[in-house]
Amino acid sequence: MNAQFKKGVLELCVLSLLLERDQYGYELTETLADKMEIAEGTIYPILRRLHAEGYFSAYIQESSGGPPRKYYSLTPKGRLAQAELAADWVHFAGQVSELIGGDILEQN
Amino acid sequence: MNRIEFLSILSSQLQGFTEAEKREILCDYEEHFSSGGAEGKTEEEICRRLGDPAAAARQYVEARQDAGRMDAPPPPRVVPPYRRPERLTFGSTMEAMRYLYQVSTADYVLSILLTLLFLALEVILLLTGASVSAGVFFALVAVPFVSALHFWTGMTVLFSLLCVFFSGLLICGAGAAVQKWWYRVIAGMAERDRAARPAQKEERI
Repeated sequence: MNAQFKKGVLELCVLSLLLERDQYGYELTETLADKMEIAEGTIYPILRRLHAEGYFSAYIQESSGGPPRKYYSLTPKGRLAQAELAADWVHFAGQVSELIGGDILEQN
Repeated sequence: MNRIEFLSILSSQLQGFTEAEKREILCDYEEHFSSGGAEGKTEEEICRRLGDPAAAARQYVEARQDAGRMDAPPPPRVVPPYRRPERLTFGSTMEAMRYLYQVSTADYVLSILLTLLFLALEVILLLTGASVSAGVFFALVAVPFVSALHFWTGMTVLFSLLCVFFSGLLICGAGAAVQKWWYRVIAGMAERDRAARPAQKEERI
């Protein structure tokens, strides 16, 4: 898959995972890597960039039986970005599935 | 590849980053290795899943170039772990609220929105002449209620919000019913009073 394209989609996935609850880096990378073929190491640059752009805030919390964890928490700006990206994605995926001639999205 | 090798390759490829930035970036991967280790994974397994450290470094460098100069993210706050209190007291409620506000800006904003929603509901109730006191009371206690539900029951914030909102509606409705009954009592008393007055006037004449 095109690297630039994949990066944009991964951003949407990260934002969406955080929509439900705050998560720490390892948790996020494990979930994403289980669902799609990606190197876990490439998630951290995305986390750092989204954090720098103000989509997350972060806090460190002790864990029982592990190292202190850096949790990411979606800001209102991040929630807004997630909603916009998700809408873009659905629109785009719909157009592509029309073009390739199948009702792939509808069948599922 | 092991942890030390992964981190040293990553570090050496992070060109143009200050020492402090490099430390922050490496810190994230250190945490990743420790978390994986705590789950019983070997360093080799973790490295295999992490992929090529040089590729990760390239991504940091590219992101920095895209943004001109990527601003360093603000340092994370250190928050002590929250333990659910065994008993529901005033002190533990305050603790839960303080914690909620500290941890999550988003939850805080939601709580404020909820309060505004109650205030809007209040205006509607006021304009329609329904219950005022029940609504005011609920607007004041809504925020701690949401926090408490969220932390003691482990429900999501959104679900707690819905619970509080609908129970608030019920309370407002009950308040309206009580007030309506009370108005009727008052009106009845006024009616009797008015009925009694002409008789008094006649006596005076």
